[in-house]
Amino acid sequence: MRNRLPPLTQILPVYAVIAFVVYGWTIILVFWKLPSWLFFLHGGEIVAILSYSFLLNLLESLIVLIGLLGLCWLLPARLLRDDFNVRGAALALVLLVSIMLHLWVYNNSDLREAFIRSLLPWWGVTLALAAVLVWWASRTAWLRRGLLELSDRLVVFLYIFVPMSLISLVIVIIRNLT
Amino acid sequence: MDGLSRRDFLKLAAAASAGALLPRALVEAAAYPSAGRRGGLPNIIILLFDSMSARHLSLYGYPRETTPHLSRFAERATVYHAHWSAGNYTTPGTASMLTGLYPWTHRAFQFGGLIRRELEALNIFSLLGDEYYRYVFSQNLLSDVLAAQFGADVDEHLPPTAFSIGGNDLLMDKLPNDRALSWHVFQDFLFALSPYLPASLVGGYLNSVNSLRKTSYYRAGKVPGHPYGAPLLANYNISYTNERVFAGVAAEILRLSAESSRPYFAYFHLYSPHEPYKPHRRFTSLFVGDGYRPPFKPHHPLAGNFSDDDLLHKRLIYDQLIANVDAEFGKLMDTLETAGALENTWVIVTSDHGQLFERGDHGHGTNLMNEGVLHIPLLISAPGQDRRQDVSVPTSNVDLLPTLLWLTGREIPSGIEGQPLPGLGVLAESERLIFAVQAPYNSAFAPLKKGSVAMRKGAYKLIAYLGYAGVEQGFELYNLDEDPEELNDLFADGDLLSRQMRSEFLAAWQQANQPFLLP
Repeated sequence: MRNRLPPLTQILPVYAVIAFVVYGWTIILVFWKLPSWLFFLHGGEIVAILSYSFLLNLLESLIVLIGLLGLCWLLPARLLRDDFNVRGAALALVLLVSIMLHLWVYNNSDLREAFIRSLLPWWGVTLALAAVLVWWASRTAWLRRGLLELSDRLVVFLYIFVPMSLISLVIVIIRNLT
Repeated sequence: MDGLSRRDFLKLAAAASAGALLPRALVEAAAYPSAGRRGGLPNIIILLFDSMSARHLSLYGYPRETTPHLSRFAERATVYHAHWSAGNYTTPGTASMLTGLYPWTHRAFQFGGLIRRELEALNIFSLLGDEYYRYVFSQNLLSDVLAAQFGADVDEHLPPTAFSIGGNDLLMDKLPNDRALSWHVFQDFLFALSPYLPASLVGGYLNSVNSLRKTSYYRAGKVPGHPYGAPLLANYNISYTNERVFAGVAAEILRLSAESSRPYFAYFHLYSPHEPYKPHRRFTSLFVGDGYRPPFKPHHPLAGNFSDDDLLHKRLIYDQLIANVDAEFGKLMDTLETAGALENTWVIVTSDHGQLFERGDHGHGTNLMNEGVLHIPLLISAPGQDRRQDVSVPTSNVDLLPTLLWLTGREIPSGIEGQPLPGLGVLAESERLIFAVQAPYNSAFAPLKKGSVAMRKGAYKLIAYLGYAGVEQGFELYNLDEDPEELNDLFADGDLLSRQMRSEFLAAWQQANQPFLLP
């Protein structure tokens, strides 16, 4: 089975890309929400909210990574596993940015029905784009280099996100056990 | 009003357990002696209909026949004709009812706000004590959050989705230790639905897809009998029908009556007639073309921007929904009475706030503090009561908690800002000041700077708008006995009554802010 998965040295940068987007999205929205929380929540309660959030971020980023690894396992190696650092990062970026855009474009309660109706075409286009980008990324030097450098530099954030999430896990466990 | 100083506040918190007695000088010969004092504790049921304005109930003289069943119920109840909510939307209104404190004291005046943690013990569940089996079902997530804050004092707390037909899967009851916070974590943040972005990118997105897909059917008018779609908790995308919810409430009361070894206190907070208005088909032709037009009221500078035609249309469907709720209420009462479940039971019908359809404004929680949004129904039916009693003196929903304590023979902690309701064994205090506070723009931990406050004294009502852009300090004064529609603003700087009311209000405002001023 391990032969069908990429090496850890390639998995880590891809996870860094996923984590950066997932945690970054939450952190941006924390800053948007914080002034309101400060109006009526105590510091400990805000820390609890952040703990649940970062713990969920850890879970969802791992789920996305596991999904990509699952694809590696299923697909022929030349499509994703080979050069996983570049292809995986490209695929993760397309999928996560697509989610962001989908939420953003339909961020109106009058568009809830339209949001549901748009699911198939939206994801059809997204997957097509993803396929093109994954194919193109490995063949285009500047894009390949860009993705490698980006994912490599984002690894540093894991030194913040992972410990933060583990502390969050402890806080959530304590709050729900006592 | 009794705004609390820091010292008073500490005494108040201590009194929650020590039980300092309210002076009983105001006691009148009780029309309905409390069962508590007779020796056998009665059951208590609160049926709260969200956003039900007394101004739209035929029970209170509304020209449209919206509430024949409530009127029937009123024939054996005490009916309060000038009853206010202390807030103009769910959080402050419900928090005041459950604590007996005004919003500027309990400080739950933001959307989803919580009671001052130091005052948590001062709640109806705690003060009734564990002689009662204390039960909560709230469809409204904001009041569910408040009940969750009192979690240690509640014996059974149903999830808001208990009788829904589908939609969002809430996590509120999955985290019992953090139930009060879980709304802030999940529904209001990580899994927020449009028009807000979920803070969890993947989980929030999947939740949006899952819950919106599930309720798509219910929203589309395909549910039998619901041409506008099934009723919906719009912010959280939870569909329900009133038939199912009321049947659930009836079943729960029957269960409590049959199974509870203790007398029970059951608080039901039902969502209808909250918007979006989606009455059952049986009611959608009611009042159509009846020619009713409310008196014209000019647009208020602090109001929204709804056209009069739009407001008239919304009012029509709201009135239909009230008639729908009233019919379900009638069925519920018939079921309970037939089963004998209301013996030795107080039944209280009320709301958390009203709903506005005037001056360019629609809904609740806006800047306006007119009667449509403050005047709520209150009917209290005592065990065995067989005649109607009407009470016209102004009362507030902060009075409900001390009333229940009084009726069950419990001590009323000093510092509670409400007082036992007249008509149930206590004399009315005609010159008492009553307040309603709307202050969502302020910190819960600092003096109030901006907001709208209504103050009632006898027939007169002062509305103060403070800190708004362009309206630094604005006042309106109405005589509600002579001008119930608030058409004739009497406030004038040179007028003695205006000056007196304003100074009484400013003194109360200052006193309310006192505990939050820096030393």
